[in-house]
Amino acid sequence: MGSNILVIFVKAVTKSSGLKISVIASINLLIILLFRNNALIPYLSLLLTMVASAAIVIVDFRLQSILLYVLFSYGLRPNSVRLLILLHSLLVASVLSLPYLVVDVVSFSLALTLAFLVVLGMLSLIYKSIRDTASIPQI
Amino acid sequence: MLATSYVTIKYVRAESGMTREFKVAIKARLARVVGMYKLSLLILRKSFTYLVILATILSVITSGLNTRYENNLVVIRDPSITNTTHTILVRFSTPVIIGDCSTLLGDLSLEGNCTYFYRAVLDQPYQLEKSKKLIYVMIGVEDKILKDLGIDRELSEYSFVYSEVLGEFMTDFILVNNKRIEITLIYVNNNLLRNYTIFYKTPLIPTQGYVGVEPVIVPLQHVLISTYENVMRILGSEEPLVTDVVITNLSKPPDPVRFFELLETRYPVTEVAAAGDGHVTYISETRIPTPDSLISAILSSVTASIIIISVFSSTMPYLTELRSKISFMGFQPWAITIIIVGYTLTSIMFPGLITLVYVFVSMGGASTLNSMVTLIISWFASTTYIILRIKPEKLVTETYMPPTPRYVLMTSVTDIKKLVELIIKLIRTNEFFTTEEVEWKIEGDEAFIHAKMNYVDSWGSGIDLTIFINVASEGTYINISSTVFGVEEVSETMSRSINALAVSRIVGGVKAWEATF
Repeated sequence: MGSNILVIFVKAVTKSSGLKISVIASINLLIILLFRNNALIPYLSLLLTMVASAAIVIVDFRLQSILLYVLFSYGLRPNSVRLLILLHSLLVASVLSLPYLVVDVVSFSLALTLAFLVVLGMLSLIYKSIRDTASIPQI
Repeated sequence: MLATSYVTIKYVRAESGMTREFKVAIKARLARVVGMYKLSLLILRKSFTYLVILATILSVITSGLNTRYENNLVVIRDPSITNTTHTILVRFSTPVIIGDCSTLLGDLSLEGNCTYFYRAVLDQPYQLEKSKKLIYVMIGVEDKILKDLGIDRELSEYSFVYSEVLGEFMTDFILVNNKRIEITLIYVNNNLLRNYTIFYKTPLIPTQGYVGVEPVIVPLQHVLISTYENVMRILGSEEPLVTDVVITNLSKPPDPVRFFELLETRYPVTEVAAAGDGHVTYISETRIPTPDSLISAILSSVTASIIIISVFSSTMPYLTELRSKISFMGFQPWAITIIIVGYTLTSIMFPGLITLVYVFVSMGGASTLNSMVTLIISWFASTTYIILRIKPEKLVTETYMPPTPRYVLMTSVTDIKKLVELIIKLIRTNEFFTTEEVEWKIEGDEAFIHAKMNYVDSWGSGIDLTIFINVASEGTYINISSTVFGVEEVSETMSRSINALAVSRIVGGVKAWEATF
């Protein structure tokens, strides 16, 4: 059963529109960050990432709700479901914050490191809170 | 007065046939407009609008901040320029005080001869009292320029060269700021003055504009020319002011861009032009975004479009439902298009334009151009996407046709046990599905089968079958109920396909088996 759950989860994550959107947005942000010529660009792009993450939450909402139902029907406990969803959140957050990490590697700056950490932390929190409060009680 | 007007209007209305029907028609039309307005507000109040607005504002500011400028550079090839020595023209936006030529050229390690010009278009014209002419342009030049214009003698104090003099010279009074000064006007040849150029196709007389590529100069009757000292005396300036400098006989070919950038730090330069070796290069203070910068703007707009489109795509079921509802209400198909365009204009263009104003005020014109590119691309891409998506693809999709969830089959076979075994076998051997679970129960003349089958060509989709078998005296009834499920949203076509593949295998199998029973 465990392998089935993993297959369903991986397929749901990889086929979700949210991950595709985050990958495309991430590539764009990376190019913008690499060719920036203003110190405010990282912070503005950070805000843009926040908006993108909120959009991804909206896009993936239906799929996640169905996925939750499927996982529950497989007999998974709510905490395990939350853990899986948190994993998904971290994955999408990591993809969205990847541009900051890459730019940090190319040219380290404290502002970008902070931006990276803020993106990673904030996105995980946003996802977790939305899943906890919105999706699971609906089932 | 008001009462009379009111009565008149009422009378005209009563007499002019503004009938009740007409009023009803107007109201009906307005009701439709009001309806569309209210529907637009309905969508605008949704929380996803905030995301759209935020994405737009951030993208527009990002592309504005990411703008790189470069001075506008134009190179003209002209084989008629055969000089091997190079000449430079420097134009200033306001009159400046410049020292000697070496000060100007020192940073560039260049040597050359400078010719200074003061060419000013006056805000308040001076008046020639006797001639009754207004003077709009004052030009101060060096003696050698006056000689080129055919003035061989040295100009005394308050002597000016003027083209409208009858004879060789005349005296007149000029009114400058309510001050009456006696001056001497010396004749100058009109054609010589009109055609005199200080640089490549740049006339001595200031230009008013261009007809095609030909400059239109200020009429000569409004122009006074003299030495620097005389012009400064009239203007009341103690220091010699310069508006243009022409540098000739340069020791080596100059780099006009570097020259412009160096001068820009010290003087209000508006243009630098360099001529020589068959080319003329113009560098102006007008700044335009670099190609890299425009790519950055396009990338920002792509990011914004992705975010906005993703938000829109998640709201598609809601918008599609809204379209169906307003169709039932009697709205034309274009109503939803107007509503959507109105929505995107309000949620993208309106905040975008406000942000553009902010970008223009705080960052300048070039950044505004970049931001405008972002805004227009984002709006156009998002609006096109949503309008195309919301339209019904085909007419048949307008009417929802759900796949048949029930199927009743009658057979003459009454051996219920064998029938159940056959149906279970048919379910398990269906090559389009992997059977997740099959359960059954037989009780007397009735049997129940439940099967959950996963569709092999699509992950996470399948069918849930519930089959009731009832043996009666005249034959056996097989009632098949099905529910198609999917982790992702299953399209109507796929749903029908899955349903048909599962049910037809049972129906076909039972009929074939019945024939051989």
